[in-house]
Amino acid sequence: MRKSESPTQECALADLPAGVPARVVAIDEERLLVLAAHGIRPGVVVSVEDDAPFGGPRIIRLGPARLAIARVVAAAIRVRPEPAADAARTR
Amino acid sequence: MSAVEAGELACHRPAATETEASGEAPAAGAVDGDGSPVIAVVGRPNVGKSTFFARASGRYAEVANVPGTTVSIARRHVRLGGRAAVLIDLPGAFTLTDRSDGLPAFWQLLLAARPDAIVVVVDAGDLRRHLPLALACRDLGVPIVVAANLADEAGARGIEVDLGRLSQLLAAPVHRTIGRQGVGVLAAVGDAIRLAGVRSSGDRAAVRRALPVPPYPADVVRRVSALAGRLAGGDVPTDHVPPELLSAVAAGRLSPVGAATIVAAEDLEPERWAVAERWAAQVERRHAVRPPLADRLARHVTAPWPGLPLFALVTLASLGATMALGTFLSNVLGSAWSAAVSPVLTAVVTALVPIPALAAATLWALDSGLLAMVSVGIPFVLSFYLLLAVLEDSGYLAGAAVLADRIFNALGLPGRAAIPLLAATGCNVPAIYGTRVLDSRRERLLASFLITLTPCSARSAVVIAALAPFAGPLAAFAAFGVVGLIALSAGLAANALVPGHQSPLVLELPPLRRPIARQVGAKAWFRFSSFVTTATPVMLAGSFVLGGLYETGAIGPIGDAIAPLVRGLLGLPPVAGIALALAFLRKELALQLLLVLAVAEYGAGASSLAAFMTSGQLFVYAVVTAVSVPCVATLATLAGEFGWRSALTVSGATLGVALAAGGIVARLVGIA
Repeated sequence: MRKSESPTQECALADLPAGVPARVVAIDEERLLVLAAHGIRPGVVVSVEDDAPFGGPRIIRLGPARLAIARVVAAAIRVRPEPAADAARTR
Repeated sequence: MSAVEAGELACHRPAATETEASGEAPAAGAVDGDGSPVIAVVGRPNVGKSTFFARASGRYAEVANVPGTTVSIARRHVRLGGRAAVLIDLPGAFTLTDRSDGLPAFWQLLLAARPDAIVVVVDAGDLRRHLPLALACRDLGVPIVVAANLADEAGARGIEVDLGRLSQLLAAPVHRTIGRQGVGVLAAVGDAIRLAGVRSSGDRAAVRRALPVPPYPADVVRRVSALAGRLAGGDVPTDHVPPELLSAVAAGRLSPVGAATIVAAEDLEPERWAVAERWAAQVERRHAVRPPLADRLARHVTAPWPGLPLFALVTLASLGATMALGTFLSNVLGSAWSAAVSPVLTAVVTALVPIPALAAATLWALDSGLLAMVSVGIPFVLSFYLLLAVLEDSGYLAGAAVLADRIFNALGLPGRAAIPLLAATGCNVPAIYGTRVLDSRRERLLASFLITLTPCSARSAVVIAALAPFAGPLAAFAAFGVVGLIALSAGLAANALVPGHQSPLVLELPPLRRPIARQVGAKAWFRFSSFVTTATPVMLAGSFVLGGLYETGAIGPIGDAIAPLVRGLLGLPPVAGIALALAFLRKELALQLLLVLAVAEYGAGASSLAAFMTSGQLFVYAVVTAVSVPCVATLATLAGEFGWRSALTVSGATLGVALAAGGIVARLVGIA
């Protein structure tokens, strides 16, 4: 997978706007194992589909899979939005 | 390992068999007693592994469209193409090193089954996330067959897989399967049996040596090989390597290389994911298609709109349906019992048992106790299980869990707890079994505590019948409000007091699927029969003891003993205390017993509640009944699920909460 040269600002997955594909760049050590087992690893592209109400989990798309991730966990994932040309690819 | 991952492995029962004919524990032996090879079925949660297993073995195991519902290890004898084999269904796993609450690591479960071959069930539409587990299994040195399952769903999403190419890359057979329809299942299992035969008859060591450790980078392979060499020579510090692994190597159940891949799992996993990514890109063909209806609906389920109104609708409808079906069945069964069974039982017992008190106590057990099972337990429990199975299998439960997650977090529970808690308003017993959808024992205990504080239909009936006619419907509403407040505060307190913390949600959402009727039926029936076998003996024994106390008059001194508490703390007449205690048998008896005892105590004039209790006293009585000690069936269920110590702790806690709250309310309404 090639690295994105996008100038777009890196942010936490918790702050990523819905519908924007973004590549995972880093994950806090303490959440790494759990997230990795679900396939959320540095290098993969995710996007936020929706947010559950009352500050509930974020619904994340990862390829064909949908995952619900609590906000504290989403805060531990650093992502960089993909350039628009890559937006069609979700991986 | 976190509780989130752990939960996906959730085996809430000891790793043992359920109802299968063989009755042997999985550890029973490699090539089974009769020489049949053992085939383990492995897969990530929600990949349709148990449905696959059911198709392969012709019987449905307990499965649900909720991650981690293979609660026990099923084991079935099968014959395929003239060859016998033993199939083993393991809990869903993300990695071989998954470890769940109080259970051994997944590789230990797998090795204990001594598989001669492994069928790895993967999602044909999501190979990137499923191939790593197949690679990990292959690395063990046990022959694998890959079932590219859910091929129909993948096809609907425009994903096709070049199985031949994938098979070449994996150096293992790959079958296209659709578990729900049985497509390819027998072929995949047959292939595994064939490979297992090669393995057990041929030179095992040769087979193992031939197994490829690449496609991993050379430095990783070198490290694993070096580790394997040391494991083979026994030259490894035991604090680095689990003893179970060393003994598996010593016993020849696992090659040193296979063991080394488990020890070095943390190094290998990223490589496996990288390989899976590469291979998936090579074998997948994608066509642009309109997303299937199920996918589009799935999104609406978890979105605030229309997800939340839908959630309210589904929960109310479920509740209504369970209550309606339960009440209907209850009436039918109850009147059938009174008309046909009760008179016969009475006649038989009176004729056979010469001592009147003993006869009466026996009738309490056989007549009242069994009637309680037949008219309360069975209708509500069975109808709830059916409904729960439909909600689980359709995938709706997981979506609802996400919506409610934040609300339940305050109580130390994940959103999934919403469903068992709602079920509790029908009957506590199935609700407690329903907590099996939760991850950890802590969550299950907290939820069960809240469940016992939730008035079931029987307790709600007491509240309404005691208050509505004498103190007005508003008083009944107020009582429910008070009970709700009590449960909420007790839940918050319990979350703060019970050690441990809740792990934040990371949940894979299953797609929406049409439930399979046979599977729903099998699951509901499996849970129902475990309810009947747990609850019936306790119900009988409890009824007998209480009947004996009542018939022999021993209840009198007990009543005297608790009188100070009942009168002093709750401001109630002493008979009310006895009625409360006896209602342990059946909560809806709380009112009938109160009247019977009152007539016995105060004479015929006490045949109306209003004759000997004020509205304030009735209010306290209703609240305490609604909150205090679960009924005997609930206690038995708690004991069956958590052990007697936890069951008694939970029951004791509800009693404490009920007395404390009753005392406060009694002072507020001015009767004590």
